[in-house]
Amino acid sequence: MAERFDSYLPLSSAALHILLALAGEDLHGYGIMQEIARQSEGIYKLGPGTLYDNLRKLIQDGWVQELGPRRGDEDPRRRYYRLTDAGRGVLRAETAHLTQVVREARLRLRIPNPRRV
Amino acid sequence: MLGHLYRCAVRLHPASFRRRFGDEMLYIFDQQKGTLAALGVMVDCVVSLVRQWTLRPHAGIELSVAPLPSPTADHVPSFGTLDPFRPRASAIINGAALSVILFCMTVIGIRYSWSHVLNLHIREIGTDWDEQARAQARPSHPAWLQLDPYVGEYISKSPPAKISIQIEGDPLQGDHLSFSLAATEHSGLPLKPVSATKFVIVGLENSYVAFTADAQGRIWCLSWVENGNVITAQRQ
Repeated sequence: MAERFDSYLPLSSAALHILLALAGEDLHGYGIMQEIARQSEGIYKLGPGTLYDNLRKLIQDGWVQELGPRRGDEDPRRRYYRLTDAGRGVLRAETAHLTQVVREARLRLRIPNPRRV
Repeated sequence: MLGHLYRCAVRLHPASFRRRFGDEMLYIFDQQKGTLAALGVMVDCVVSLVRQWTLRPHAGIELSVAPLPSPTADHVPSFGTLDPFRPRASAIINGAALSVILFCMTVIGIRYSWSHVLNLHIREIGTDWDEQARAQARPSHPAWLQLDPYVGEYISKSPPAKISIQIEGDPLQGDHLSFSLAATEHSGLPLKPVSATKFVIVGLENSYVAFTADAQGRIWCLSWVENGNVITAQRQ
């Protein structure tokens, strides 16, 4: 399954963070920005121009689906986005790729693996 | 003020991008608290603007399927017209750069071509010349004349050079000394260049004018030769 998406890897930082933000729930653009800032502990901040440029590409690739505005939402300008199955698959493949990178880095730098609680 | 600028920047995005994400970008800007945060979003919007027009050349073009030309009853081939086409921004930039390079190469090519441009500063004969001075003038007794500056041009083949000459002002009128350049509307007898400093006077047989230049290229003396008589005029 993961081999299907190998040709798309590695993802750009923005694409990875957007997919990761949408992995939990459907979000609107501003919600994606806030979730990315939360996940990266404020280190990675995405501007709206960068966000929507990447979102458009992710939608074109079929990894993200645009849901449109929600009824009864506080602001009708907000449109929601959802991670598709393909998007989830490419995120899994990227995660596996990054896990391998981290494992290799720990081995080379002799960093002990974190203890499982 | 910043909000107004941000709205302008959003409006300047390609139409398809603006229609799809413009409202959301404005919403995100409205959610920013503090000038610093709004400024960061503003900078990101400007970067996005440049990115959309340069790195996403097809972003502003909404592709549509051109309708097939309908067959005609008499089987005469019909032709369809293409949709309005707007060249890509990157193509325009590349074209502009190529035009500038071509222009520079043309200018350099002209600069080093066979024809070289030389500018001679020649003095025009003034109005204090009269028949008496002309009759008395001899090589041993040069006539002193008032010379006024002018610039002109002509082309010579050997050596390859283009010399600029232009007579200005009012040359001597009503006198045989009145002359001007060949093939011009100037009154008087025309001069025909035979070298950089020698001019034949058309209309007068065995006559020519020779200019003498100093080390700086400035004409300081002219000699008018008519039927063996040499009249030298020096600039005062």
